[in-house]
Amino acid sequence: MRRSLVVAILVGVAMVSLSGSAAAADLIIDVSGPEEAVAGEELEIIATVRDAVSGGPVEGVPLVFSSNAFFGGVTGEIRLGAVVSNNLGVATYTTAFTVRGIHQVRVEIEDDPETERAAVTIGVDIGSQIVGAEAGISIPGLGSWFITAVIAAVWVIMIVAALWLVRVSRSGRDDARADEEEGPPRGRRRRAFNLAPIVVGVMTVLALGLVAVLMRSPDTHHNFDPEGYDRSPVAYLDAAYVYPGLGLADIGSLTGEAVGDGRTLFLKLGCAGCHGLNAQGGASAGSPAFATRQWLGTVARTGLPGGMPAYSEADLSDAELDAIHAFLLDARDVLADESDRDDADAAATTTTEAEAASTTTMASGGEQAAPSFAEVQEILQADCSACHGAFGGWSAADYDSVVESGDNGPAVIPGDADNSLLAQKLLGTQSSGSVMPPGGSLADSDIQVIIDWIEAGATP
Amino acid sequence: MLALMPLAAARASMTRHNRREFKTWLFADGVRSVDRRTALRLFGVAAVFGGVTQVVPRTLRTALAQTPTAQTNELPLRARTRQWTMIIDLRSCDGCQSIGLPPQCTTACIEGHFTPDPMQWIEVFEHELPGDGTRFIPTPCQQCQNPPCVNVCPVAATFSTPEGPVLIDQDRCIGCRICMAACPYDRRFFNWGDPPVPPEALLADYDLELQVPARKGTVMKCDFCPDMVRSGTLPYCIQGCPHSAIYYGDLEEDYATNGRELVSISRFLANNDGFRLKEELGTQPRVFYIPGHGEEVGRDPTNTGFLPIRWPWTRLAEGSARWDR
Amino acid sequence: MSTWREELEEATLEPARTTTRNYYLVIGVLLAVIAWALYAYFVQLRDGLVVTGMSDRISWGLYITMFVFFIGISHAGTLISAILRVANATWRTPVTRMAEFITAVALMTGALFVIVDLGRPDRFLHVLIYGRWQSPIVWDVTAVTIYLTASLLYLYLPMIPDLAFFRDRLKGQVAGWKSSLYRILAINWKGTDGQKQQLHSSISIMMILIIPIAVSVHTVVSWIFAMTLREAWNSAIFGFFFVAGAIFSGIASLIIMMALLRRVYRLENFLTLQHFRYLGFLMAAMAGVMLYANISEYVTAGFKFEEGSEFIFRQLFVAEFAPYFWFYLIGGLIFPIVLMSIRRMRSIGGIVTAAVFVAVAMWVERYFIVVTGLRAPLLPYEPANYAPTWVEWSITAGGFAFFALLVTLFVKIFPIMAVYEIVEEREGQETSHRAYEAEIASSGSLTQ
Repeated sequence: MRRSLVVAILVGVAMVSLSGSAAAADLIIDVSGPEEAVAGEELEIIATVRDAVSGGPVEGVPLVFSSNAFFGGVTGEIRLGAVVSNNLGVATYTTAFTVRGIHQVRVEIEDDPETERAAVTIGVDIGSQIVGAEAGISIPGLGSWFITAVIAAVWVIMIVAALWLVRVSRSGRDDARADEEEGPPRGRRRRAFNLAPIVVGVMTVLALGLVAVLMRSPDTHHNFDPEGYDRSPVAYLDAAYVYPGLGLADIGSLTGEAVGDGRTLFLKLGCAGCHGLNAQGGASAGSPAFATRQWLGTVARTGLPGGMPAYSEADLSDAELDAIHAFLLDARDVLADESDRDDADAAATTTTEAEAASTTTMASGGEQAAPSFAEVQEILQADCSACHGAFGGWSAADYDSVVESGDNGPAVIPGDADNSLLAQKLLGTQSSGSVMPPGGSLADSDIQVIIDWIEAGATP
Repeated sequence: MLALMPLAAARASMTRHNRREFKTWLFADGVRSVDRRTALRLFGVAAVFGGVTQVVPRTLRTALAQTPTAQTNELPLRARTRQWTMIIDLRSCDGCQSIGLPPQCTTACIEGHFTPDPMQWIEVFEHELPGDGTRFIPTPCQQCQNPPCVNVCPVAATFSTPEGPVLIDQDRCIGCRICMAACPYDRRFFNWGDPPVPPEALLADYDLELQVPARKGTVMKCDFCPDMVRSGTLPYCIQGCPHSAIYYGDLEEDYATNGRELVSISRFLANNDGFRLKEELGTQPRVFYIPGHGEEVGRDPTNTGFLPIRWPWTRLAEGSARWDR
Repeated sequence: MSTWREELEEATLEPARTTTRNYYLVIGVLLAVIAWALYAYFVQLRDGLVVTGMSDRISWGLYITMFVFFIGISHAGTLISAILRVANATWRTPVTRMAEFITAVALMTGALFVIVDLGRPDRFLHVLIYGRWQSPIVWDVTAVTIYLTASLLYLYLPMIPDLAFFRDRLKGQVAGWKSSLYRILAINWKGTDGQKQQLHSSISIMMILIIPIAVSVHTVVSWIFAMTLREAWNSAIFGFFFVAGAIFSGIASLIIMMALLRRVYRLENFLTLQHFRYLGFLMAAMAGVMLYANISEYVTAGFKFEEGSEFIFRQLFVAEFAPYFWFYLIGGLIFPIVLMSIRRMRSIGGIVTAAVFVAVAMWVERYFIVVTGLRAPLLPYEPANYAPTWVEWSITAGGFAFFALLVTLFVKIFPIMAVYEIVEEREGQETSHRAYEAEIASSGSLTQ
């Protein structure tokens, strides 16, 4: 008995391990789909899994379908869904594409990076509106005619009542005239001022006015009717629009003087909305004042994902960019003065460590005590977060992202400044990419603060 | 007068005798016998009146209808309009506690639009969770598809656009504030006095998609930044959020982005149990929420409170009024 | 011609003939209050609505309270003049003129307060140029315009014979412009049978038409609140509730007005205790209706206690607004019923006291309906508080003064008693009474 039990256990373990390794055996994925489709049209993407060795179908394999996408300046891969292959090794994924263009659908096995991915390309054409939201209730036949009819009926009855007044006054005048023996009727009539027709007239005017008001009213309860009551430009898919900006200055007032013109353009083109009225930066974007002319040109022409618009040559010429840069240079000095004042002002909202950091930043680096992260963050917020905030890659937002984030592994190795990518980039000794900030414009004292901080252990 | 013409004609065509009978029959002195001609005339009057009230309003309406005041875009062949939407991932929202600043979405919006003090077009509210703790819910205008504010406005100053956002025309608003009473999310704000805005803002060309500068005596609110998103720039609040918790997207295209990553809206919401605020009211808002309490950015739900918002304009705008909400 | 008719005519002519010094004093005081209110409005126009106590959270206050209150008072005329005329209640005749006039004046004052409340009054014509018929405010503008026209017409029509009476009797006794005014307004009234019949037809149309118009007016005013999603306002019976409240407050203001004029112009023989009693009973009956409406609302809501109800009940029953609510309930609804039930308290003084309580209580009720409805927080924030400023109080006082001024001017120019109707009704009674006696005398017994 005991022996058979041991054998059973051993066989079971062997089976389990063998089946596990069977899953790790080479598999090949084939995927097919329609070559062309229309946006919104449901289509099927069929993936087949077969064993590389035997060529037979494999059941129970979880397949993940994903696709590329681009929106709002951000590219990415969307995970569409997961389907488990059936006994024929087939996994069918039904979906509809909503965007025109070439879509590549990739299929891979879940949690299995070794098996090669398969892909199929589907061309999607424009199609018609998919999401057509309705709002409110639309009762057929019920329109302004109904309320107009009711109001008109009430007024008609009132005017009829007022018309009796005319009869009263007229009959009174007839009787009076019948009593008179002398005097020209015409003279008499001119003196007698008859109020009743005026009452009727006023009421009629009021009635018509109200009815006109009711009948002119728009149907704004119908929300998606551009022809009916459209007062705004409409955003269509596949159309390109230029960012209009806030228009805070009159473009016609360009004088030829660089700094002033630069400021006018900075306000007119909408830069001030994110970068502040004096290019001091804000919550949406940091200060661009310390950018070089080259960097300014690059960013302005290509934009940055997540917010910074791209301005073409037609919308923003190179000469205008020169003027803006002159304004930014001027703003640099203003900012340096103001940061002293602001440090005192901001005492209420920043942490006490930041307060202490602000005074130590003014002194040059190389103190006895190691710099705190608050001091480092001060520098990073001022000089790096303009680009390294919400736009991807390494982020200067908080301690964790400063140390960990980025496309090239951890940016900070505590205690080792020479091998920390952050320090390397500041010093120009990095292994990938270019020196940061572009042009190497970070002050030496600031770089020293950061290096000291890393060397001291990069404490939060 | 058109409606009276049949009555006048009927009266004029009657003899004096018929007129008296008509009058006595009509004015409740007991039902007298009425001759057939009078009865027929009465029915004729009623029929003409009924026809007039059907046809005349419609023709007059076409003639009197208000013309659109702005150019309408030429509709390209088989074009599709965007359907803007916002998804706020509450798993990443901690009220900006971790960065030690006031909520940055609100701050970014204020800076971008020169929003008068004390308006917060997107406002962070702290909701209590069952059990212990709270969560933060940044609440912009919900851009409802069945908007109570649009329904009650007497002058059509607030209206829905084909892409979804509800806008306000501050040139037409009369300041009656019935829209503010009607909004169930408290997302509309009134300029009670001369709004404190910086002097530069007064130079802006007012456009109803920018709402800059603010006008005394009118209503304002979040507008989903339609001028920016048309060109691919993301709204201020999305740009300002340090944890990238707010996504902005297009329901028509089914994509949304927070500036860093891209999601498929339908899948994102389905997989993460998306919800909307006050769903039972039937306003059908376009702002979705993913339930959470800031756990993705390391917030403990019992860590309550966030820093108060600051407006830079009060210092810059001399002679302006300031009021409390 | 009986002496009571001469008395009636003299009593009606007297105010138009002579003006006492007290009258000018009253006019002076009212004008001073109005002037101060105009200055306050100028301040509001210059600085914006920030000078009031309203805020984003409580965006309606005293002005809308006054608007609803005055539109409510305007239902006095409709009830007395129209409904009682349709029901052929003959005791109404001495009271009709004042009631009809209160309607017209109250409507004008109420409409003014809406314009005062606007953030951009320079754009109020937008409602006419760009009006949307789907909006409760446009329904309100339409209904109030129709009601104002109808009530002015309904005031004018029965006044024509009295104006003719003034035209004939006051020739040479009053200023020239007054004589011309009476002559023009009397539109050749000669008192012929034909004219009487025509006027009777015209009044008959209006008396029936004006009842649904009046009901619709305060219903659409209530729908300005009931068409929103605010917890306290989202009630199906708001229309009915407001109309009942309007009739209720209208009767109370009519009683007060009657008592004042009776004292000042010595109309004791015509506005008797019986008239006050009838109106007092009507008022008590309406108080009962209002109690029923209030019970319906609060019991059905309180039994279930849905989300948000707790805050509303708390602020109204026990916390910030408790004094207002309980004063309204006890002083405004229960007190009139109690007073009219006790025989000894049914004196003119008692009834007028009850009417004053009712008028004040209904004003308070409008106030807390507006403010408590807006005060309940829609999202988790601290509820705001509303405290009216001197600007709002000044303009409110100006509104009351404007109402009083118009009434005072009316009393001086137009006949305050509906002489023609009173005489017609009384003579009709006497005729039928004499006919009845003659019949008895001729037949010799009561049965035939």
